Amino acid sequence: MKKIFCVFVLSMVSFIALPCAGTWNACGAQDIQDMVQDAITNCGPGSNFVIVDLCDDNHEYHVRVRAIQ
Amino acid sequence: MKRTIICSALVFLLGCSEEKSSEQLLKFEISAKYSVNLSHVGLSSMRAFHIALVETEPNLFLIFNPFSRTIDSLLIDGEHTKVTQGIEIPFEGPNGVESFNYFIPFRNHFIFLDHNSVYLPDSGDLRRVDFSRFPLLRNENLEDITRGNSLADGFDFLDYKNSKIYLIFESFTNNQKQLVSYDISKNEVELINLDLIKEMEKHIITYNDAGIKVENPYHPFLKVEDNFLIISYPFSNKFHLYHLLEKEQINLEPKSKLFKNEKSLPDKNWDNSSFINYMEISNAWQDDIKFGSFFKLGSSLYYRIINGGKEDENSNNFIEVFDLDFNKLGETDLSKIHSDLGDNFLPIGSKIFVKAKTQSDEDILDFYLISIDKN
Repeated sequence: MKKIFCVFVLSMVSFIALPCAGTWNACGAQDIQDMVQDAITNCGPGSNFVIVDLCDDNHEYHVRVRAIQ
Repeated sequence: MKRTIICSALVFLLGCSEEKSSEQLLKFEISAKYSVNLSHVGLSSMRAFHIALVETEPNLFLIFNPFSRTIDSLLIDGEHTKVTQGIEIPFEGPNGVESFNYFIPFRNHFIFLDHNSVYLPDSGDLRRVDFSRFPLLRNENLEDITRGNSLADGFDFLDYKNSKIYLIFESFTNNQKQLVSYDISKNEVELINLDLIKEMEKHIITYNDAGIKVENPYHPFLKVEDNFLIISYPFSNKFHLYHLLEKEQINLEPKSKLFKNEKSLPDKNWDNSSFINYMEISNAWQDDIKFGSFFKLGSSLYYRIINGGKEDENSNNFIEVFDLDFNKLGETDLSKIHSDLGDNFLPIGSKIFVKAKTQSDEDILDFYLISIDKN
């Protein structure tokens, strides 16, 4: 179970220190909401990433931040 | 002696009215369960793999290992299947890629794609090409490469013979989608006229807040074949073939007797200021039937997997099988043949690799091989 634990730890890390791209794992509705709020606050223009809810049938959330024109 | 499960399905050739109908017998054979130890490379069978298929080595999968940041090889050979750790992909530096969505082998290295750039091997380093710098794309506000193709299915975006990449770009403001080719040798992009189905707009579920957009995974799939492209959708049975030399689009709509043709449209009457409400609508749409991307099987067949969606907590996986002209040869419910088949079905030469639904241990990968024969 150690690798699954590592996945969940990664999912709790704020976007503040990480790039807003790629695919990120989350667990549950609250985690998803927190990550989207985090992205609103901290992700720069043109950010584009997917959140996968590992605890809810791998539902996906495709998040995009408008690029500066 | 290996125990195999054989199911013969009498199927009818399905197609448009001008095609001649006939009967064909498809035989599906599922192997005994195989297992391979992953512990020495640190992969976990409990996670979906981030995969690239290798055209020149059909029995091989490449897997991006997020724990070691290496591209590992999974060689499928029944009881002799093995996994080998590969080269490391640094996070930064001349050979580094901070984050990527897709990768594919190219010239003894790899091409990587993120949401708006491609990383190309160049004299031992990786050279980043930012697509937003091309006026042809910037002027049309085509900012992002769509994320239709699943990371776990691989994404064949490369025409190796002509050194061209094919991608679908999209605009943030109006969801406009555009098929684009990028010539690696000439460093040029070209817009390709492709008519996507109008129904796609009805399947988009969007949450907006403070300049950020959250969407459901409705985006089309794209696969590059020799001289043509296959474009299909996760929400519909419809798909397109685009012949690159003739610049001709063909639209196909194979019917089924086992599953419906399209996801139900999402409920548009929702409180779009509530993210919780958005999640409920989007997740209900995602739990409905899902059409997978197309794969070539051996030298004579194509297939795709359709997940029937959650009905009474069952989620059966169906398979559609086509010939090289995309005449539908048949279909069957794989979940009724074997109850332990997982959700990722990938071509391994002339067979289909599928992870077991129940994995015995995270350090052990359990899987089956499916053979399809036609009489």
